[in-house]
Amino acid sequence: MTTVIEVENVSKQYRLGTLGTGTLVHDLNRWWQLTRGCEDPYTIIGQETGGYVESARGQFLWALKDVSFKVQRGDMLGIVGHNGAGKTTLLRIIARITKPTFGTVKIKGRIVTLFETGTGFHSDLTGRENIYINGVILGMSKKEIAQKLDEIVDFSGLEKFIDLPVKRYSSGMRAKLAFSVVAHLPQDIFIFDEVFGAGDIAFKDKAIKKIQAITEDSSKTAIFVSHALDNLKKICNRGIVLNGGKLVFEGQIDSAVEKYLQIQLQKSNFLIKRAS
Amino acid sequence: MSYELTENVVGLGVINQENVEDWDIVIESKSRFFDLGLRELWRARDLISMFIVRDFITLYKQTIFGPLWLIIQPVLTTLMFMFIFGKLVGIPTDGVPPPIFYMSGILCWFYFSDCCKRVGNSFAEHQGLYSKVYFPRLVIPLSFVIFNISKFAVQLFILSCVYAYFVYNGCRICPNFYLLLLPLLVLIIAALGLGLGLIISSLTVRYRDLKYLVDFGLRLLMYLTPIIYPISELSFKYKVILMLNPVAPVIVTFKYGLWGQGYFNWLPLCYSFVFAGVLLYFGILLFNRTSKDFMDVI
Repeated sequence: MTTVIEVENVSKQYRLGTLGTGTLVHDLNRWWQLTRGCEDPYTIIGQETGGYVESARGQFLWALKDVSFKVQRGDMLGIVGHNGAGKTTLLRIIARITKPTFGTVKIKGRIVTLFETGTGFHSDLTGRENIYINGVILGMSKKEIAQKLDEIVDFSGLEKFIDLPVKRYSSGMRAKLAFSVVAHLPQDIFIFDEVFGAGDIAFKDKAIKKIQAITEDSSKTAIFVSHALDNLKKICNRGIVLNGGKLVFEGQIDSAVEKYLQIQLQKSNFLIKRAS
Repeated sequence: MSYELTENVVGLGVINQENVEDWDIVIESKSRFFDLGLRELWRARDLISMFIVRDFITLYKQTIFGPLWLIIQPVLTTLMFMFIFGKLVGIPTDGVPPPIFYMSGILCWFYFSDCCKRVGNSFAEHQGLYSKVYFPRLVIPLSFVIFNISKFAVQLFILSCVYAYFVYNGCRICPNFYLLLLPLLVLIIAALGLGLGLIISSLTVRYRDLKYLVDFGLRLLMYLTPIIYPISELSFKYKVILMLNPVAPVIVTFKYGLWGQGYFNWLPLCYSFVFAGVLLYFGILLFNRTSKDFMDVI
């Protein structure tokens, strides 16, 4: 077994309220201190209350706190948790869209993160041109796209419209085109954020089948974030549960979903108690 | 992402399977400040060319005049300058026909200021894309600057048509060998525009009001650049002050090469070259740094 993703003690802190210290002079000073490796002179961390930290100069939120886990090659990992549990933040860090406050993430292989389909679509461009742009943005080379172009067009079922500008497409057609590019990506590691369901029912089946085909290929690895628990159970073999920015469970997907439901039950019980 | 794919990685499954420490991507909280990320940028060259193509195709979709805009803007500005500064104010033009005199400066300046403004806006403009997918963030500013060179080339062609017209009609102007420096001059302007634009883009993420300052500052800087007046008329002291503006030596050299009279000195040009290099270097560092966490700020 090869570890393809290693997440080590990843924490992410967000500042609530005012951003920046407010003045250019302070920011420059802080930048200077931080680049010299000193501590931030303007952070005053006070009492810790839950995920929130209150300080003299505003509130902090630990969106993630000391999260560590490993993903092996061939794993299909489902991440479950409530809204605000830190799922998207975690994906964003792995996707290199934002950097962690502490900790490291190590990745082996080609990775692609899909927060939405059709990233970079331009409505004035034709379907074919958009396949190229979307594909290259998602990390394919032009050569790879040229090789797979026919396959992609075929899969989308939009042969007749492929040279029309995308603005003439219906939203369903757009979704089909976008997913067709995703389905032919050459990467070994896929990260999906809420991507079940695109296009009409017939296409949705096709899409889920395609995802399952990816998941059955033992050289591919995928991480899913979704609230569609049934789909997760079908597709994933392992799961982790996030709660309040902390990793509270790691193991088989069925137990992970159970744990998640348990937390949910506790929370709603707590709310009911408080209400009564 | 695929840009991380090196030949070393292709053979990973076969050769290095046991070597666990052999990671392709390492995401850390501390960024290596002096890493320019140029290798990663080179691997993303397909993406750069795609963005250039996209700009080409989409720029003049659903416009009345289409690519004519490339010509309309500098020509109208030249006519306006001829009227105001030539006729009304009466600033001399070094004995060169006014259209050539103004247009040569205007083209260079527009290239610089366009790069500056668009690059300076890259975080705001592409926020949607940047927040959804990772690619080397420098790709977008760089592709814009390269795309703009093609615009500049078309405009230079128009300038040479005007030039040919005046020569044909008996005007005694002749380019000299310094015109061969043109590629270097374009490179310097591109580096200046990109460098300054990157710094602006990094700063405007946090301090949005800087955007107004940029518009204003660029306009002021234009008057500090010898576009509407010949530098040869000025005393030495003012020449020195004016040449501190790194765009000025470039335009002065271009004009000197174009009609073989006026002022030229290697020293300001070298200064401009070094200035552009340093500006670009720090621009890239600052931009890379900002791009790692601008999503949390914007």
